[in-house]
Amino acid sequence: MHEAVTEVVEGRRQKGPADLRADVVIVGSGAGGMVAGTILAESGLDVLILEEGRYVPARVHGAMRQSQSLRTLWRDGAMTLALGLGDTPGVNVTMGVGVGGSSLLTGGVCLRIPEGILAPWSRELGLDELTPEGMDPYYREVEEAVHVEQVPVEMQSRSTQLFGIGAKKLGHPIRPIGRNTKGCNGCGRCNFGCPEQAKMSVDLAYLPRFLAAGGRLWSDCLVSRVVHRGGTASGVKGRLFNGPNRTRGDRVEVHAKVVIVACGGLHSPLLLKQSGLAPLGSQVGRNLTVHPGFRVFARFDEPVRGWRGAMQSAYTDAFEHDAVTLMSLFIPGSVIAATMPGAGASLMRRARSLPNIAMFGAMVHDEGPGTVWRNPLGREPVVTYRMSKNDRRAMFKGIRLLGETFFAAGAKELFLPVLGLDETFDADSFRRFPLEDVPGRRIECSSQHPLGSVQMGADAGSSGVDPDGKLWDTKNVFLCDGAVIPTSLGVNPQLTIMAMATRIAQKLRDRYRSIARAA
Amino acid sequence: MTEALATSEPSRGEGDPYVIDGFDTRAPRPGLSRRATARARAIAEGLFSTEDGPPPADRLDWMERDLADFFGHVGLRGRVIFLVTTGALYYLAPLLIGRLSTLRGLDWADRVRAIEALDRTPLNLALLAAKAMLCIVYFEHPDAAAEIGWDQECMKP
Repeated sequence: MHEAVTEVVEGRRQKGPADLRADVVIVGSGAGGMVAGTILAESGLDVLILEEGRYVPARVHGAMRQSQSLRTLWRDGAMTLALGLGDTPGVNVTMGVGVGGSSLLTGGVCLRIPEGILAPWSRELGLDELTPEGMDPYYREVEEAVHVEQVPVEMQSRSTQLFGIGAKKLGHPIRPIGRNTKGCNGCGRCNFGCPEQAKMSVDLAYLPRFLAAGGRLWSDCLVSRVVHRGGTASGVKGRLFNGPNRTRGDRVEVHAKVVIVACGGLHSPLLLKQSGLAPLGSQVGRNLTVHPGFRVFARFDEPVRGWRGAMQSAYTDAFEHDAVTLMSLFIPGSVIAATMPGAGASLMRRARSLPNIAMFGAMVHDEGPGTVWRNPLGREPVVTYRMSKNDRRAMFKGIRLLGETFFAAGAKELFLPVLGLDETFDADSFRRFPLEDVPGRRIECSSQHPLGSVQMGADAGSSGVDPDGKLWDTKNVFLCDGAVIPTSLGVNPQLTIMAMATRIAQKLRDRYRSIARAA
Repeated sequence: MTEALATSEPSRGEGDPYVIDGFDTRAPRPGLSRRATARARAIAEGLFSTEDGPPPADRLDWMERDLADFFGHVGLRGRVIFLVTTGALYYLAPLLIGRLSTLRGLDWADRVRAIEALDRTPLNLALLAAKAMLCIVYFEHPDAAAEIGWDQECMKP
């Protein structure tokens, strides 16, 4: 057994190469990797997690300006783009890179998979255990660990309240959501670090447990390859960021009996491809869904100051049949200003209306799909995404609904997420505006939920991993993150990723001896 | 924290705005060349100008320094995206209003016209990317934030 380590080992401070051993090595410390690591470490296994990003303590993250958070903990400063094919918008896909992964960047939303979406998993994909009853114990375990609580109505921002007024008038009232918070006072900047450290991201909810159980975590360590032969992995190889100016420096090699890949929906398939674990015709890197999201701003006569209150506090699934979920949201004032039309005096005049701006978002329960490709010119993947006709229809439906709801609440002016549209709308002009004729590629879209790129399934020909999360045709390589989610969810996936990780880790724990022996 | 950043050069001494609770958040090296930051400044002068002219120089000085730190953190792809998008704005936008010049060679009013002209072309995604990066940093300057009424009460000591 290794010596007990009680804190994160920062790879960038290491001198010389590292040659390590573990029962289980996990690549990635986000909602999947950290949860799985904790369960396995608490069962007595020697677990090592390798994380590409830095370890930034929550108190430091919570004191950062938003742009400092972006540059430090968001992959590529949040500038990753999925290239739209055909009449599909380019989608800005944001992910975390740091100890805690994308769980650091969420608004805290914790929702279970709607039953209507979960049912086909067992019925059509053969995932017999993934029923509401089958998933319930894993959800319950995670909800307790991350302290899921409902956002009180009084913590809703004025922005959300106004949307709620309009939604009620139109007959689709919003409902409070659950979030992983403890002691939240509604600072409205959950995804840029909580000043109160009240958001129970996995660095707060699971990392202390993981370390207390004897788990080891190395940050600043880029894994470039899973080492394997004949379907059996023997560990991973990579580099520490301990070179000059934190560039790649000394090599790191880990020998392990089980490898878990948990780098997220874009980087897990990339690592498998780099490692030669995605043979021609495999499903690795395909079937990507992203929950294309967009927002609509509305100007009211009254002061709104939408950054006061919970960043995300309410939603409505009344339009699930249209494949669109409306979700409360408020983004930093600097980003709102960036997406306002115009330049110079016209931009500044609109930016000065910020205190009167309300906002609500929507996301499409998408069919996609997209593909993750190896990039011949760099180490970040190339991502392409093609919307289906249904996705495009849902996108326009969502924008229309958001606008109508704000006008029902008394909004005076609407800002639409359409590139190159230098006009704003009142209620009449919005009704007349032929939104549905706007090319889909002109919609400003973003995504925080890359899912399904190594999807779970019962059939090796149409999925990437088996129902227990094991990569097909391998004996001891598992996946444990958003990549395995079989379909788009229509709701934020954080809780489901953690529940799936819990399930995969518990099954692995129960079968560890036989898997290790076979490997 | 932001006020200190606005009024002092970054340093590693006491009160360094890039050091939070003993944790040095600074990039190991600036991520943009002087030429690239100068291009960004020329765009920002147009983008954030008002009827009274370009924004105060101290805000732009601050933005230049912070942008260099920002891009010192992000990977090659992020830097390339910024350089390409700001390059498109700087070199191509003037052509769209019939001027053979860089953006810096235009007066404020023409810079604004050029940027808005680019927004009406298929290159508007490039404009959005460049504008987003510049806005995200620029509006964190306390005076710029105050100008648009963005008080972040939770972040005040």
